[in-house]
Amino acid sequence: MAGTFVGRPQEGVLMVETQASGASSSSPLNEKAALAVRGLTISIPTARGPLHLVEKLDFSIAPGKTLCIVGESGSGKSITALALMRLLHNALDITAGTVDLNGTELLGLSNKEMRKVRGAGMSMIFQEPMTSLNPAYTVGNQIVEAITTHRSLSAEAARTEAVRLLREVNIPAPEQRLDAYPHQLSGGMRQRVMIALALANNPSVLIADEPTTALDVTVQAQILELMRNLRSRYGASVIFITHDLGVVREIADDVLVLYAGRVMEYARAQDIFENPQHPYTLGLFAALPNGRSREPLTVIPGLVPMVGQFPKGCRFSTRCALATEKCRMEQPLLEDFGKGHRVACWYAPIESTRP
Amino acid sequence: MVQFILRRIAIAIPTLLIISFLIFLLQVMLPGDPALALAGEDPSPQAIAAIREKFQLDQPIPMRYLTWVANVLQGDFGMSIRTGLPVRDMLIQRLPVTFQLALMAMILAVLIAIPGGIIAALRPNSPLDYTVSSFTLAGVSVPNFFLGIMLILLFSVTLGWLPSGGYVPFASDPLGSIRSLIMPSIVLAFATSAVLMSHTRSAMLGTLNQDYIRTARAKGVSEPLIVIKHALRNALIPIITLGTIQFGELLGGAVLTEQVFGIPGFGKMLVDGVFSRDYSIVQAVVLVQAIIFLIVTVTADILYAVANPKLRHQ
Amino acid sequence: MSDMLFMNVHDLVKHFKVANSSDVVHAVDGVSFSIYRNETLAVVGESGSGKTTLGRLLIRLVEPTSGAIELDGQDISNLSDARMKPLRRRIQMIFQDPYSSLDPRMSVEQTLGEALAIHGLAKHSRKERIAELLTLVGLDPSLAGRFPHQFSGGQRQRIGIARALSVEPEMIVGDEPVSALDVSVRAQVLNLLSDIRARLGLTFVMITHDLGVVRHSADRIIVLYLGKIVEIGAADDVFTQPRHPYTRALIKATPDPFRLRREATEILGGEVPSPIAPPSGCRFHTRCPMARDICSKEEPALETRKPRHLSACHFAHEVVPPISQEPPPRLYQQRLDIIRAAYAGKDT
Repeated sequence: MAGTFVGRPQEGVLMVETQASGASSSSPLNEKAALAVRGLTISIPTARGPLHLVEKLDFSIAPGKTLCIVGESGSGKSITALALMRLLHNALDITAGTVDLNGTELLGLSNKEMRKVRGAGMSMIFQEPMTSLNPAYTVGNQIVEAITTHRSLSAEAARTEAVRLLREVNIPAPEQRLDAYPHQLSGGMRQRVMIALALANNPSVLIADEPTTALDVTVQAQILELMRNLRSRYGASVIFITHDLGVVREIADDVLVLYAGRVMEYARAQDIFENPQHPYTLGLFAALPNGRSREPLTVIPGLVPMVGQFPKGCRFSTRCALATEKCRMEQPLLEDFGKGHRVACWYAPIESTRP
Repeated sequence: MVQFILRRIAIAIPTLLIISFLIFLLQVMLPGDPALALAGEDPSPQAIAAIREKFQLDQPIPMRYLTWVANVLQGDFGMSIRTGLPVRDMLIQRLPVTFQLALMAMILAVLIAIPGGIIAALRPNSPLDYTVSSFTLAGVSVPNFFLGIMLILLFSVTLGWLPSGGYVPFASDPLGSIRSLIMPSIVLAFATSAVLMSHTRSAMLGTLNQDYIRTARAKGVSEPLIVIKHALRNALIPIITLGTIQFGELLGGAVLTEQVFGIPGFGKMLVDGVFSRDYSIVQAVVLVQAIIFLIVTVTADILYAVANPKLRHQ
Repeated sequence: MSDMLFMNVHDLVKHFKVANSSDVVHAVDGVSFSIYRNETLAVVGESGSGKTTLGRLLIRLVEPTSGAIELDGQDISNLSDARMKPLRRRIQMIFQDPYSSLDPRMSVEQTLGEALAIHGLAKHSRKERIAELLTLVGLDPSLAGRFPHQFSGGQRQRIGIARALSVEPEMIVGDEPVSALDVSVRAQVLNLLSDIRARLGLTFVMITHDLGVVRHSADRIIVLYLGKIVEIGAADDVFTQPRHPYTRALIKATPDPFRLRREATEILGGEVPSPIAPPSGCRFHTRCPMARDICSKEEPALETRKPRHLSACHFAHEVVPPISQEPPPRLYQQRLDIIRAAYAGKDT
């Protein structure tokens, strides 16, 4: 009896401790998080048990900071974004983890409560500006809908607010644009409208899934600049999903490198560019065409493995030039190499263990 | 937009002229001599000639066509060879009946098809979806006359709830009139709604997978609003076209259904006209059907443009 | 790159009529340039620049409105289909989306066999040739019986390349050949292309919006803006010393992992105007940070700034070179060398 009596409070204390240390150490910046994700696992149920598309994902974002999730197709970056919004396709489930938005555990909310979070506490913009707006309604209608879904404003006040938002995203002649249909706008303008929609209720987290990939480079530069400005003005944390390391350099405070549903490296942006450690991160850099040499690019052979064909050990071991038997058999943990720079590799940093 | 409508109508006019000429020609080429049919048994050559002259059957074909068009433009569809009454009067009598029947059938079809299609699309491959699919299959494959007879057996003969046939004019007894057309409109709505429903289902499945639906969800919009405002609004664009054309087909008269229920509508008028080789009637009915159908397709195009902002602003 | 002329394009124009309207899209509006044997020429531009149309004009997939395309001194812009056919073999195209450019119902063997048959390769030698082609593009010949959907994006692009190579062309036009591919796969395909080009002595025209790819693989660059050439020159010259403000803006706008963040003032405003009603004078003047009165009135001629480096700007001499890249950090470079060596040792 006494044992249990003593044990309970001890357990409680322990839990508080681990939670506190977990919350601080999983952000490389060691600041209070606007969004904290713990152990997020996204699975697809099959006859032979669930297959994990994303496994044990941990990260957090401090207010006003930008986290870039970098990965190739099949890395799980887009479904992670959808999972945070709880907008996953029916066939996929979140099988483990927590998503904490300013102290609210999103995965425990009812559908109705979650709807109140979407577009208000957390909003999202997508890759394809051409198809992400409803062709049947004016831009104004769609922005006003975003506003009035979460705030009770008169039609007139909502319209004024919509004009203000369009002005915020630098759309010329916003009063007139309000009555335009999406097809009358260019791709860049539509993406600005999407950003206006996402900002409509001053969210604390904005998720952007490859928002500039479909745009021309000069327009991409404008949109990235706009997002930087708005982030500092609105103080929203941004999750920016991209495959482009150049874009990461432009916008990221923190970087999470995802491969086959697992975190390979998670660090401050500066560390990723100056002190990259994981062979996959390095491989991505080496595969990048740059102006310095005409030498053949370094090629990571093969393809990202399909779900269900993930190797037993490190997910990258099938394509890693440095992989050993240990890599193939045992999954490395995400370990902190100082200042919150976390790497999941048995041999990081590679120069110390390699001849 | 006005320009688009005018252009659409301008395109329809030559089509109408060609159709009218073809209708006229088909009539001329039909086997069987109407003068013989009219003159009764053992007619004298004089009697036949007199009938020919009276109905201008002795004139050259282009002349007959021009006279016919000129008359039609003045609302004169000629006399029925069989009854001697003006065809126009018959049209005026029959058209409202068919219109009422078509309208009732269409309303019924839309009420069944749109919700059915939506429900099926919301839960694809669910038992509900399979029910809808079976309904569609039945609607397309069960012949009208068979369903009509079955309904008569059930509701008139066995239960005695509804009249087995005939028509009560709307003006004299609105309720009775609707009652008299309930079974025929169910028969017509069955096939119509089946097609409409399967199209609604696939259009909804298409729009529900669009990126802008995901955007609406990300905004926190509630599911019913997403289905109605965002998905259905876009799915309706092709459905409107289909529905309008189906309505046009119903307006053209339902030959078998009107026959089964003994409704004095447009379809029955055509059948009677054909059996009695009453050229003026057949010509008039087919021509009016063609005009209705042209109006309907033009309307469908206009509605499509109105519903689709991309076309509206061109 | 040699000095042997392969193709000469003279004042090429392509206008498209807009359906149901009197509007005309000025897709390509009077471009002149040469393509030399064995060179890689990059055609760079954003949407509306006309780069895709230009590529299609070069292989005569679309008919020019006016102008001449000379191949070995013969104008091919007006040749009949029959007389064009033997020439088509000499110029092949690869496309951005390898999936939609392959017939989904045809196996790789059938796709390649068809290309070989059209150009009259005897049937009995086809199978060997197909195996040879697949090996050339780094695919296992035993996969010849498979269909496009059974391959990944990068593998499909390899099939597209094999198809283009099947008729032993002299020139290949690639329309955004690596834009749809992931970073690691893109490197595989880029290496393959440069390897094949060197081994087979091909001339390569690469149409792309990606300056990173251009800088890596192009010998010369053509920069297009709204259907006009604004700059043309050797890749190194154009990158280090652009002579047109648009080229400079493009270089500055391309995200580069090893460059300081650019200043907000350096971001080009506005968007590409409609090619239906291109601006007067210099087409770039509506967005140009250097524009003055003359720019909206007078169209600048494409003038030689130094040997083989031309640009069309009234104030070409005022264009400031873009800041060069930062040298890569020491630790980064050290680790990258280890990785490069490791992968090179694996012989990929």
